[in-house]
Amino acid sequence: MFPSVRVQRLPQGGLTLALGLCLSLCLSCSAGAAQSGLAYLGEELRALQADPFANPGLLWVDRGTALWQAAPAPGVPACASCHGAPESLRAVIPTLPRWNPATERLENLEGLIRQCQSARQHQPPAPYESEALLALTTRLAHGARGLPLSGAVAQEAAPALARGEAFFRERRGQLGLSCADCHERYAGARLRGDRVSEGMINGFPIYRLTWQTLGSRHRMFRWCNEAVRAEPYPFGAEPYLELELFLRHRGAGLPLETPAVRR
Amino acid sequence: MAAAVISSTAAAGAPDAQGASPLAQQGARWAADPAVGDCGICHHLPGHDPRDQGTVGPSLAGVGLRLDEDALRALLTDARALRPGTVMPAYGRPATGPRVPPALQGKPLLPANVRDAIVAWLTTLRHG
Repeated sequence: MFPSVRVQRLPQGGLTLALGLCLSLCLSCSAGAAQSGLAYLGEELRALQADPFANPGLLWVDRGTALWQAAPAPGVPACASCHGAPESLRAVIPTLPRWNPATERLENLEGLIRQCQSARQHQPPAPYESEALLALTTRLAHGARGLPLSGAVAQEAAPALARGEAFFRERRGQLGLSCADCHERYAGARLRGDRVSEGMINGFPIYRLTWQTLGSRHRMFRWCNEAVRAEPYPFGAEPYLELELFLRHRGAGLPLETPAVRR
Repeated sequence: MAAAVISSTAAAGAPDAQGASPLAQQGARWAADPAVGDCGICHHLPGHDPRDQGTVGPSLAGVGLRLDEDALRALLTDARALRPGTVMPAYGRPATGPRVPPALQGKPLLPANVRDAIVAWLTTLRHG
């Protein structure tokens, strides 16, 4: 995280100077490293997220546990029948979205669950933002809490990664603002009374006070698009999967925090 | 409590706008209204609690001293033409960028009468 500091023989007074230089180097380094949205919250919301009884997102974790164990219909396997505990998938979570060589497409957590519901459980896949899909995604991501987001991207996904970054930097909508305008250039500044975060995705699904409920990464993308008066894409659309891939790559190393609490 | 007092002062015409024309007073209200100008999302507006306002753009305190009316109008109309790289949207140019919803295509962010009122208010901000 921090640059290694070399100790050198210095003239008198040089030590103070050297310490000062180290401090400023460290500060500039930590300012350059990816920071979770948690770092941009006030003390009260940080405490709410950390509280295992008060974090409202934990309701969805409990619902997810119940759904995971229940067969959706008679004679149909429950998630747990094939996968065991949700934690058995914890190593996969930080690598999503990822390239699926069979379909030659990106797949995210919502997509994987929906695929399983359709192909293995013979059920209609739960729509994005349905209580069922939010509960299952939250439960699985919660099981991977603390693991660092992976920065690895399959070679085949390199063009998708590049398109995701282009999306991040392209100005859009009636306001003509890009994701990068706010979440890169002005991260840390205040919009109205709130500090602008870096737009990291390590806490999703998040419990967002603005929504008074839990929401997925794609709901946040749609919300941001609408805030700059740009036409949003549908949930699960390719441009959002590519943006999600870029943001995972951009936030590599950040620990998963699901369910994070945000404003 | 202090914020509420400050806001009600601003709603009646910011301190800088005291004695200002009705147009400038209307401009002060539109500038602060989140549903109209929403200038406070990025800028500090004099007469409002700075804790509730943005720091993305410079404070507007004293902007009427730094820029004349023409320059203020030009900045509000199309800041990006004057200051390449700024994130300030062009409030007076028809929206043409990607993903502009059909209902908003070709429309500026603020109509001319609102821009005129906000410019009239900005010229009254002469205390840095």
